[in-house]
Amino acid sequence: MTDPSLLGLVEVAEHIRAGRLSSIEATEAVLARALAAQERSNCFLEIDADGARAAAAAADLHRARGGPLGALHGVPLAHKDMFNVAGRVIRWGSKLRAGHVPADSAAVVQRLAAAGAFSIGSLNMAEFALGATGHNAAWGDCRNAIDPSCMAGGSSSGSGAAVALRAAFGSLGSDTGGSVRIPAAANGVVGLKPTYGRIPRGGSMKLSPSIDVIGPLARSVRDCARLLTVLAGHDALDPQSSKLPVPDYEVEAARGIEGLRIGIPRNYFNDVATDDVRAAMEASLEGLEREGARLVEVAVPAVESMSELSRAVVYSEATALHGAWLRSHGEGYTPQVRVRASTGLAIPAPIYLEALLLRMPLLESFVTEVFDVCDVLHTPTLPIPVPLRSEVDAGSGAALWSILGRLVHCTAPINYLGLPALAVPALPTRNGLPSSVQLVGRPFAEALLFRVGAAHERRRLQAAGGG
Amino acid sequence: MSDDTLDPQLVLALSRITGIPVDDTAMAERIAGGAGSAIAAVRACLHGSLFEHEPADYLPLLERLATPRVAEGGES
Repeated sequence: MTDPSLLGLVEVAEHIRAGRLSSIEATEAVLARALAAQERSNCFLEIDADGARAAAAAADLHRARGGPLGALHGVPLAHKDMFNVAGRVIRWGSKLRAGHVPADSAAVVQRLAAAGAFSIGSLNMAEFALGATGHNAAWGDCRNAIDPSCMAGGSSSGSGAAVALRAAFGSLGSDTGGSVRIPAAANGVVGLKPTYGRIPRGGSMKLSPSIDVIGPLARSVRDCARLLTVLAGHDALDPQSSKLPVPDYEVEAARGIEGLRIGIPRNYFNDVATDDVRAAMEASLEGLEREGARLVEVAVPAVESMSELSRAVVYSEATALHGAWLRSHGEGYTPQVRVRASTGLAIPAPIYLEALLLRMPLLESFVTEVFDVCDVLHTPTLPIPVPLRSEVDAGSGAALWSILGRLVHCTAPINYLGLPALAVPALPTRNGLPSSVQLVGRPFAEALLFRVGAAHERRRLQAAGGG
Repeated sequence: MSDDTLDPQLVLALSRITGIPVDDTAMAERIAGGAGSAIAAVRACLHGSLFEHEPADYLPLLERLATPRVAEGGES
């Protein structure tokens, strides 16, 4: 068999299930990749090689004894350093948490374990998830998997880089302003921000509980769909998790898109897009049309202020959560992150509540006006080519703020509304790195996003192969 | 047109009252910039009272909006 790390998540799971590959073989392959990935991108905060080998050996033994096999049996993953794993140090990307060892695993880690997967280590992230570039002054910056001089994106920086570098078959990240989709886009992988409430959050770091979601990253739409099928669904311990039924997203992803209406936004999302990003979006739309979709133009209501409305909520909640530590251990924060964690200090409580309450009428009008016209909205994930790390360094001057604003231009409004969004790699921009399409749907329309994402992916791979 | 700027001195005063430390005027200016933009956006988007809404209604609203509404002709 070829190098198992070259396989996709679903492929490796099926090979292990059929006995064509052992979990140990798959795990050794990704551990070798992990060491190389760490040198290239600093995407890990910890590689637990012994723990991974023990878990893989246990998975192989379980299969040899004829035990029931889950959808991810024996598959090695790695996750952002903010999901509790019993007995492992979980730092939230901060030096302040360097000694924290949780007793229990997060709900999502438990669900993945119940499906047979395990984690080979903890992945780098922005300190407390407060950053979109991959910088981490406490543990070292995570660098882009394709071009280490470029930003990895954040806050799930290690998740994007590790999956791209084949150091894990899939990964968990979190998304409060674009933190799954931006690193997915920057590193050329698939990332899903699910609907608020689709995946339970118990045992995971909070940044802004009214907006936070957990999402998977993987190298293909199908892989991402399998992960969501395992992760989604109500948890009795999490009242903010939805009771709506969970479809088999992998089956849904394989359905065609004949007759689906793809919405091209008339306003906002493409306003700041560079010419090369626009060209990549047009090529994607052309491919979707050839797959049988119908392209329609859509006027998107009231979206211009949503990034700032989202910040009113995120800053307020982050400062409330961090308040005790800011008072007692403020020196333990790096300077940039301390400013972000403290900004809610200056947002009056009524403003915070107004921002929370406003999103309900705004959500209703957005869903009505957009999704009466189209089934899926098609936008760039990043409206600009992936910037150099030096362009998004804290000391890089006034241009920094303009770039940071554009990084979340297309993603943060979707967080405010709580809608699902899938980031899928698209044609390269002028710097040679891929661009990324963001597909947005009505609440709980993840299955539809996977269908369209798979169609886009199919067309892109055909074009790359000359087919 | 209203003045959207937030005085960094106000941030320093809030820091003293709440006990959340703000080191100097430079840090206060950055906080004021971020908070001021967010406050201005909320104010600009308010066009009526919010008595009809509660934060706890958010997840049920998402669940309700998951299903496309049925048009009068019966088509979704």
